[in-house]
Amino acid sequence: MPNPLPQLDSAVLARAQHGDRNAHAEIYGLFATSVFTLARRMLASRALAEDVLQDTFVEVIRKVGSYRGDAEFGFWVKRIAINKCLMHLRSSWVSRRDGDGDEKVGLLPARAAGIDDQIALERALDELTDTGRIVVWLHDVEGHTHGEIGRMMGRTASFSKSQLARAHERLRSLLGGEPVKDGTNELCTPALKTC
Amino acid sequence: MHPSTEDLLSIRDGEPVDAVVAERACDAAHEQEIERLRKTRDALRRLPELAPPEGAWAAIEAAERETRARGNPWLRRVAGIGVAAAVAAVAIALLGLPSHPRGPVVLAPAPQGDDTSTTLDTPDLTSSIIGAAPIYDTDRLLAGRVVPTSYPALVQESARLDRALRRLSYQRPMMSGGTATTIAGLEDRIALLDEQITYGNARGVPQPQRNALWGERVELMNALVHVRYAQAQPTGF
Repeated sequence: MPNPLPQLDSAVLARAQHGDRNAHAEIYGLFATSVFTLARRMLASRALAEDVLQDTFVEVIRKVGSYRGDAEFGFWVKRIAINKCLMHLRSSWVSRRDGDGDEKVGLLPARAAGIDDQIALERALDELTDTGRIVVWLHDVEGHTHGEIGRMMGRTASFSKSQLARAHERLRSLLGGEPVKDGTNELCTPALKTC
Repeated sequence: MHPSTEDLLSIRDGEPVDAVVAERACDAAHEQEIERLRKTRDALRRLPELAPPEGAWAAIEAAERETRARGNPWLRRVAGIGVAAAVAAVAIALLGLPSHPRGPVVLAPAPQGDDTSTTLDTPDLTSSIIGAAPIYDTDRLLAGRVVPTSYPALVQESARLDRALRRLSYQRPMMSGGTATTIAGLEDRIALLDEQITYGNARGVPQPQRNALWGERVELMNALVHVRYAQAQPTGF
C-alpha cells in the first residue's frame, strides 16, 4: 500500500481555519514533501512540480476554512494537488512543449542508466506518456481504483485499465525486458512459449 | 483467449477476470510475468520522496498574499497604470525586432568557459512594470531578461518562459483592443517560429540557424510574458 500520510493535529487545523499563518506553515511542513513528490512523479518535470506545489498550497490556505473533514486532511490536500497536475497536463502549452522535448534535453535513455535500478525506473517513468505515467502513479502507488482514475481524468475505468497495461508494457521495454509487440497478445514472445 | 497485460494486471491486483483467461495465466511463464508486474509496482512505491525546493513556502505565502490583494481596489487602480505602460513599452521594443527570422541573431560571444548567457541590449521593461504594479512572484516571472546562447540553454529558457506564461494565462481579465492586438501579434510570431523550429529539426537545419530561431523565440516569449504579466494585474475602473 502507499505510504501513510501524516496526521494533522485538530488544534492546528482549527487555527489554520481561523487564518493563523503559523498553522498554515505547519500544514505546509507536514504535506509539502508528499505533494511535491506526487507532482514531480506525475508531471516528470521539477519546474512544473514546483508550480503545482505553489498552486496547491495557495488553494489549501484559501479553502481550509471550508474543509469539513469528509476525507482525511492529507487526502484532501493530495486531491487538490492531483487536480492541479491534471490541469497542467490539459494545458495547450504543455501539449506544445511536449513536441520540443525541452524538459528532456540531455536525458539518457533508461537502458543507459541501468547501473542503478532505482534511477533506471525513475527515468523510465519519465519516459512514459503523460497519461500513462499519471495512471501508473495514481493506481500503483497512490492506490486509486480504475474507476476513480477514470472519473478524475474525465474518462472511463476501461480507459484507465488499458493505459495502465500500455504503460507497464512500455516500462518493461524501457527497463530491458522482452520487446513488446503490437496487438492484443502482447505476451506472445519467445520467452513465453505457452501463447 | 490469451491473457493480455491488462488481464495479468487484474490478476496481480486481485480483480475479477474471465475464468478461461485466469486458467491460462496459471502457467509458469505468465506467473513469472505477474511477479514482474508486482515487483515493478513495489519498486515504484519504494522510489524516494522528493524534498520541495528551499524557499518554496515563502513563495507560496507571497502568492497567497497577492491573491488576496486582488480584492483591494487601491492596488487594482495602481496596477491599471502598469498595464498601459507595459504594453506601450513592449510595442516599442517590438519595433526593433524582425518580423520573422531572416538569419542568425547577432549575440555577443559568451565568456570563455561560460556558455550560459549574454545580456541583450533591450529596453528595461521590468522596471516600467514593477514600478507600477503589485509584486506577483516577480523573481520567478521576470528574472529571465538574460538570453542564453547555447542550444540547450535556449530551449530550457524558452520552456521556463512557457511555464511563466502558462501561470499568467490562468487569469483572463478583460483587456483593451491595443493590448489584445499586441498579444495576438506576439503569439502569431511565436507560432510561426514554432513551425520553423519544427521544420528545422525535421530537415536538419544547421545548428547556428536553429540557435537563432530559439533565440528569437526566447525574446518574443520574454515580451509576451511581460505583457501578460502586466495584463494579469487586476485593473481598476
